[in-house]
Amino acid sequence: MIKLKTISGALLLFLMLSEISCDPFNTIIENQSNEDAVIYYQAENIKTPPANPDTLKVVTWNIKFGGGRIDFFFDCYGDRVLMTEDEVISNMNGIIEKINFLDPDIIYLQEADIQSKRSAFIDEVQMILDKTDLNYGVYGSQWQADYVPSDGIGRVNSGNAVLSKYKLTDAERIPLSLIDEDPAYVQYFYLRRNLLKAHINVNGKDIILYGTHTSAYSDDGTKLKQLKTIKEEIDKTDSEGKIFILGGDFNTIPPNSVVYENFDDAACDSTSDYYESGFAGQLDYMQPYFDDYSAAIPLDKYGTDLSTQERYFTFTSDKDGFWNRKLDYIFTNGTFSGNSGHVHQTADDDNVPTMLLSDHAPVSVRFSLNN
Amino acid sequence: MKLKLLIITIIISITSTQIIRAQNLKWSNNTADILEQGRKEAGIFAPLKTGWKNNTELSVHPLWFFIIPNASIKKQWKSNEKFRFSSKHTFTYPTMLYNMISTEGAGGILPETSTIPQLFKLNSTALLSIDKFNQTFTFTAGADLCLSIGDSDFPYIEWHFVYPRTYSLNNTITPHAGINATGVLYGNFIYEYRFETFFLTNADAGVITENQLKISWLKSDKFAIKAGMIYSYGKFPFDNDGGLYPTFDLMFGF
Repeated sequence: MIKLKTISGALLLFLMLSEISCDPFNTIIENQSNEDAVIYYQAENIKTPPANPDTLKVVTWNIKFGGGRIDFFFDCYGDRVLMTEDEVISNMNGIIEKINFLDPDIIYLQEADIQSKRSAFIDEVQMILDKTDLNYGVYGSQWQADYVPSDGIGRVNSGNAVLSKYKLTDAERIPLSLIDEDPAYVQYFYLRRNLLKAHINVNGKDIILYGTHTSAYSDDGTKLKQLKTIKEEIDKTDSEGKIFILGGDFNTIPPNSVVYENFDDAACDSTSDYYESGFAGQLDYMQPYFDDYSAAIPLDKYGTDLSTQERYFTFTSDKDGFWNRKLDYIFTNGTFSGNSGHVHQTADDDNVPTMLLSDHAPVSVRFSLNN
Repeated sequence: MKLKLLIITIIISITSTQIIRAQNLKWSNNTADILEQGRKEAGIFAPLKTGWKNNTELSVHPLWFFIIPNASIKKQWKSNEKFRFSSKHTFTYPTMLYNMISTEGAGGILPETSTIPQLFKLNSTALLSIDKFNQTFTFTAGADLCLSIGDSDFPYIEWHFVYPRTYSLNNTITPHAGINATGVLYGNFIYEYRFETFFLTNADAGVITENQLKISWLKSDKFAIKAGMIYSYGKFPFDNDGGLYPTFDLMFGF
């Protein structure tokens, strides 16, 4: 009897210890496999997508978690941390209105919140699917924590999503490097960047979709590591003879950019965690992508003078200013139709002003299915 | 599979315990029993408790006292062969702590812009203990009540086991009820299992449940180690969710 009790007591203690997670705030997404770390979505009502299309309209947009132009603490324009439900719904309705005008077949979203205190726990991916002609979605978290004990952020689940009118399959969340210079506790609670991968099949053609969002505040080479990982992945896909479309917020400006530091919207001083030191020394980071693949906004279109380049800028943190740098890109090893790449900076195209919806403007392009 | 094994192990362990009444032990527990008069105990995390006169136990958390003033009194009203009945009343003043954690940067549990009112929280719990099958079973029922004075604008702390314990600071009252079983596992090893339910009062809120299992090694009347786990599950502001956390303490008696 004593032996039985000793064994059962030891077993009980072992089970207790093995059941207790070493990840008490549930932040380490990489504890799951790349496949299991993806959440699949479907619209409440499936809409019939166009049959046998010649082209697919592809959009990438960092929607800033439905925060619109509220003055958040991390922009150094204000002190807001949390939004009310009404604010999120109002901002998301603006984003949805813009998406409906753009009418994409595929959209890459960055900073989409699905369960965050800052956005009143609204699932923004589901909301977009339910209110647009998009039917399917996959989501890979880049920031997940049961509670972030900093700045009052609380629970957060925010990340990359790919949404499509066509069914998405075989999705994976491929992890990218963490910022080396961050101390362990910051790494534990901070963003975990990733490359989200999924497949669609249109007109019998299998296309691999990649969505990403690389690090913004890294001066230690982490962003370059992330860009290399992404490039290696698409190079592998290309070498296997498969077609891909890559879209996202690369937090990097194109080669030949005339303005690369001292941006006119900088509000954070150098003591802030959110201070951006500019892009000096990073001007060639995106060059390999332009060298090897087709871009929605090719370098010859982007030009070499400010008046040309500013037509393709996609970001500003100052809602009262104008877009002042290009961070968002779409690339393919297939073919984009003619001169179809466009940055939707204003309401000129669709009567929906962009500046108040997010700190990024959407980029669109038509992908040809006939080549 | 692990859960099944855990349940089987618990049943085997409990049914094979020695005949020792838990309330005979010198250490305090979450039953209707009171520390014997003159005895004191404290833990690294647990409060300092002392057995006082007239079947009363007093406790205070000295480490936390200066940022969250607190005091607790537990009184045994009835004790006979069939049952023991006590009530416990804990007062806390969390305003200072909430102001401290409303800050920018690391440690900012709440936004810096939060407005924290004067918060006076009272937890009252009734405890009824009976001894059956060589175990002590304790049924509890009570409520957190919070009086809030002044302007108030601060969000919930929606983190698993913190949420139900701080809910009344935003919503005045949180009723709760539970059952506790404790007994000797083997020699100086004591188990304690506790199930508690918090009834959140807002229309769109729900219920939070907690399952807590703890094993104590009572080395002597002067030193004990407690370790275990707590699983919190229920309806949180974001969705139904659960979280498993370790618990640990070193206890000193004198």
